[in-house]
Amino acid sequence: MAHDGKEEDTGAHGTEPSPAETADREFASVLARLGIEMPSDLAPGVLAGYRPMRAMMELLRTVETCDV
Amino acid sequence: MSETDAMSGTDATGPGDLAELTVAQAGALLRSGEITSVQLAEHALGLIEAHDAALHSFVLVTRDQALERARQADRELRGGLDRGPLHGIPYALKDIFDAEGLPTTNQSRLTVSDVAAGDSAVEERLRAGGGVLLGKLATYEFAMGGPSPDLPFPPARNPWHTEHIPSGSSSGAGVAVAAGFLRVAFGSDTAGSMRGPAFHCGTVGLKPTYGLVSGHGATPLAPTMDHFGPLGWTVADTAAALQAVAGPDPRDPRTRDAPAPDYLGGLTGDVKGLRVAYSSAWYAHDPETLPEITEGIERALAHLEGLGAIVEECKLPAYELFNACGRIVMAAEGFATHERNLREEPRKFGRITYQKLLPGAGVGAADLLRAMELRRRLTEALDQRVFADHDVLITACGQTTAARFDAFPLDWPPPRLANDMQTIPFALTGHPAMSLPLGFAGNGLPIGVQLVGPRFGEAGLFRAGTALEAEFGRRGTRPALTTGAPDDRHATA
Repeated sequence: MAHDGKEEDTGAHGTEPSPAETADREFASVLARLGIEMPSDLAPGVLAGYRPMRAMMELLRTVETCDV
Repeated sequence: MSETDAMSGTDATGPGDLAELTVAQAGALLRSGEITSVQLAEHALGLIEAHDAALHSFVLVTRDQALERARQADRELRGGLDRGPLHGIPYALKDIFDAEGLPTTNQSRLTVSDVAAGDSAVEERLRAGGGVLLGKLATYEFAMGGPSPDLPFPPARNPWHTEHIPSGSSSGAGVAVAAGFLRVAFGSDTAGSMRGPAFHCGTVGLKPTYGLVSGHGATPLAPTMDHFGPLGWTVADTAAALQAVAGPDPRDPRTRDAPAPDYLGGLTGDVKGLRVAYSSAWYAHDPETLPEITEGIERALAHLEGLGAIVEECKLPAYELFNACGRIVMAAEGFATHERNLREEPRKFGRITYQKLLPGAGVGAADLLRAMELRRRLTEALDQRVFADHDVLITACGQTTAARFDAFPLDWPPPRLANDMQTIPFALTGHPAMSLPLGFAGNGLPIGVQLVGPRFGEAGLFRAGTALEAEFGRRGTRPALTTGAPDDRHATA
């Protein structure tokens, strides 16, 4: 999640953000850092691709590679 | 010799007698002077002209150049010069391979006008081997997109049912070989892009060992996962095609510095003593897997055992680890390959291609390093648990038959990835893997099985594949679209 010095947004109605919301914000911050402008009409498909990939990256963080 | 005479003794129901000659049969007749390469090329070009308007397997047909190469092959063979197993044989290239003087469009508006200044290594070897290039074949955009309508050329269609996709990205190769236009074609496979079309079109498709075939002059997608190789109508055709293109290339440091072995000598169907491993863990209990596929694999294993192979169950690492690892590596490398255009000309990509490539921007260095380390461990696990004691691993290739075009919307992702393929593990690890037809599902569409071998163990795959093909391959049955013959897909089990 991007940190811009403001209080962290905890999602709608004060609840924790959903994994999809977290992924979308994370990806937006990546694109901003890289200076890439994503056409808005293409964004839903891009984010639909990023969300499962983020889940895969999380999976790999939990795997002890010596135990495959 | 007439075309009819050339086919005597076969039981083909195919689109024309010359098209039903195997590479080896055609080669023997070429060398004896009973047929000519020009006849073969003319026959194939005629089939393409008659039927490809409905299939779109070719994006470019190079008639004049093809006939000139065929005439040269005939002159050389008459003069006693024999350039190898594909001398005088027609073939075509997925449109990511450079062929001097021809466009390499990659099915993309970004490169639709790019003309190759030289040959890719694959084309260079085929040209030197006397093959006859008929043209360039349909691909998904940059070997990554989908069967999309917003690209320079219409997507190829499955010859067994044109409302279904042929799968991709080597779509045209699968279609052209299944339709009988070609005995062999060449494609690329980064996550299953040769094995998918082979599975869904009912051809043989071999992803060779990583580094067996040079990628010089082929458009990259994910360089540590990109593989290049043949699709063929039969195992023997595929072996002949691999023989023509395999071997070291100093311009591609990924290639192994050793000559390719002989692939054609072991195609006898004798599997006595062959050590075959299997595991149904990745597919058998998944409700997405068609029962015909699970049953087909069981029959294949029983058949091999009956022929004297030693069949043993093995334990594979979890599929989810291979899949996650492969997706992350491919995404990161795909983004790196196309980053400049993704930044500067996003609208020139097809919508699905852009939507599949851009997520790779989100793979961080730590995530990629974790994936690369896991990749090493998974590869090691296969080497130790499976290939230390076995020549072949048999597992599912696809879990179901080809999806309909209307299952693919204009934007990614489709509601359900109806073609789920179990091909990415071996693109990740670099082991050779072959999709082999096992007949048809109840809906009349092809199904198959995946044979995997130890690195540089392609000969074992051809050996097992020959035995299975003889029993289950249905190589005499062609799509009714091009035969005009009654559909006999259900004539035998």
